[in-house]
Amino acid sequence: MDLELVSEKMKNKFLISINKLSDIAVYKKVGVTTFLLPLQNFAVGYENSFNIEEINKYGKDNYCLVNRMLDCKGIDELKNVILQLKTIKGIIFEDIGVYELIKELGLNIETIYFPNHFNTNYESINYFLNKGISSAFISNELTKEEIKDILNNANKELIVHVFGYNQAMYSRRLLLSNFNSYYDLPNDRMTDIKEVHSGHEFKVVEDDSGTVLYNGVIFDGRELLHLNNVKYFYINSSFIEQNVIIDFLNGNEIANSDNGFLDKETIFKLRSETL
Amino acid sequence: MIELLAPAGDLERLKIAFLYGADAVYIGGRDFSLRANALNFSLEDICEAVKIAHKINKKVYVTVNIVFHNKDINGLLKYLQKLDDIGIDAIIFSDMIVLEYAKKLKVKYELHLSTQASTLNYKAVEYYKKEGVNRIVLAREASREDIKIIKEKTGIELECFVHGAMCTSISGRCVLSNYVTNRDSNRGGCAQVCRFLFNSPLCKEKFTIMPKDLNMVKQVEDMIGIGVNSFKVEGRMRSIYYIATVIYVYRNIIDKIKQHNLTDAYIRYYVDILNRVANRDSISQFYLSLPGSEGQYFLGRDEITNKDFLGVVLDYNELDKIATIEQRNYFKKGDIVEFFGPQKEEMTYKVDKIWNEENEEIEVANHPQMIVKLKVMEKLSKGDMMRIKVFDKQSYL
Repeated sequence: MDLELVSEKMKNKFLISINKLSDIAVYKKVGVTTFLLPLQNFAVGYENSFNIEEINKYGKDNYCLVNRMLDCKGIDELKNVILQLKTIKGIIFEDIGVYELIKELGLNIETIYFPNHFNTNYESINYFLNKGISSAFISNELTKEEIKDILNNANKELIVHVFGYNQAMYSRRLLLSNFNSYYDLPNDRMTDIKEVHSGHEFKVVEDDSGTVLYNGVIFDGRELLHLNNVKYFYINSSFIEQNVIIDFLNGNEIANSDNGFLDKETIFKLRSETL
Repeated sequence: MIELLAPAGDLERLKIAFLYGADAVYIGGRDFSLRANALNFSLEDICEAVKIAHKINKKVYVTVNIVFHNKDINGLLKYLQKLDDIGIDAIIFSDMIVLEYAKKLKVKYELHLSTQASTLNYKAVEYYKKEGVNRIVLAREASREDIKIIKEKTGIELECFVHGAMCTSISGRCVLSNYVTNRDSNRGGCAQVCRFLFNSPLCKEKFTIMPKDLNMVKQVEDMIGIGVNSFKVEGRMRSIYYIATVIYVYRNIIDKIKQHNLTDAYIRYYVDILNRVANRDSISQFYLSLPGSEGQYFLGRDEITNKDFLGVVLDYNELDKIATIEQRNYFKKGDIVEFFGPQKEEMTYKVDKIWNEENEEIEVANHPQMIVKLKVMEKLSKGDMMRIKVFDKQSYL
């Protein structure tokens, strides 16, 4: 077995989201040391989430994920929950209100900003880092050059996605429940859908906090692993068998995967500038 | 402060929005603005827009609301300075680099945080307020309770969408367009993939995941009561007829609330008018509860534009009562139509005679944008609009 990726140099550089608590021991065996535990009722779109007791038991030196966009009730509820988290290294959040809450509570933990599609340039990222945020995830919809440029100019080490299904949409609506109700179908909360003309597939996952659509192909960004100024290389293991993650860590080829936008710059202006 | 805020894709739409009662408009420049494929405003156009607005005590907000990639930042500082020199009233932004630059420049205009920032709770608002944001455009997902609490706890100026199309996602939290069409949704290239057709192993039928439109006619009074300051209409790429109709309705609603004479009958009438102009169903979406299947369209829809918009009044001669009209859709002698315009009630009219530009009597107005004349005894004004009479207001009252 080729363990090159999980060499001494790399093993502290991976951050892996956890689907089952028992997976942690397996990952530790191959040298990965840092994990992300989605917080029950405050995480959306992940395969599993964990309650306060579980996070306190397994969260030592690990991170907790709060990626819901929170309403006022949600932020008040989170305040009570955060105060009960005793062992975590930090909170990874999507809603800036969570950062404000952590500051208000005076918690001495890392704060990592993960707004999915928004951290797309180094000046905006540096703005947040200068405000005191510990680190930030770089968006997935960037080219390799753009990511490199961000890392080279960021004031602190950042987090880079390297493996997993990429999030493509987050809706507050319960899209699957609504669909199932409309068509009188059993209430499955996960399915795949395909855009008719392009044939592009998305994975749809719903819980009570909303619905997340993931790109239907696993993102494999191993070509980013040599980049500098990286705090963690992030692996979102949701909806992927653990042996596939281990294969990736071992440097094996992964079926049904692509490198997303790393070599494909998106466009946005279709008209001539002279209009 | 209660403000009716209209979209304007160009100067013509801006003038119509003001004419029909908007207190302010939001517009996009040629760069740094979502709706990258609308015509949008050059700096000269923005200058003209501000002149028009300030002359009549109204405001112009400029969207600088893309999510910037590294290379997009080139020219931003200069652009923000130019907007300040022009004298715009506010920018609407979501990327914090815009806030940083605007603060660095010490601009005189206000800083409004876009709905793209998905603000739904008071802690997030506290953060932005400390950063110098003057107004928050709340996420469309904000409920009545959220709006009320945010206002009570922060006191900040709040802007809420009241009408128009919705994203399926929380605004800004969607890159379906990037994946399906390679067009970057957060830089203005959104291809509206949520309105495309999908299939699934769960169901034989093709379906969409698109929501119905937002319509807050019934809630405006309550929204004023809980502290919403600005009532925003979506649609920078919409037609002048759409803008005139929607702004006309909301202007009337707000004015009637101020005069304490808004009735359920008026509301029912206005809801029908609004649903007809958009050719889509509209509901209050997240305001009172999480929308279920009734908040979405599942079946593919052919959005056939209706032909209700018949013409726009170019001139009215009070002496001979002749209205000069630019035709927009087919009409003929004998048709029952309706005129509506700023600060006037809808007026029913039967087309008895039609004259062309050469003053020859004709039977039909059947050429797009042809100029025709009608004798109308009630006074009309430039900018009034003529439409098919579909709903009889009197039958509602």
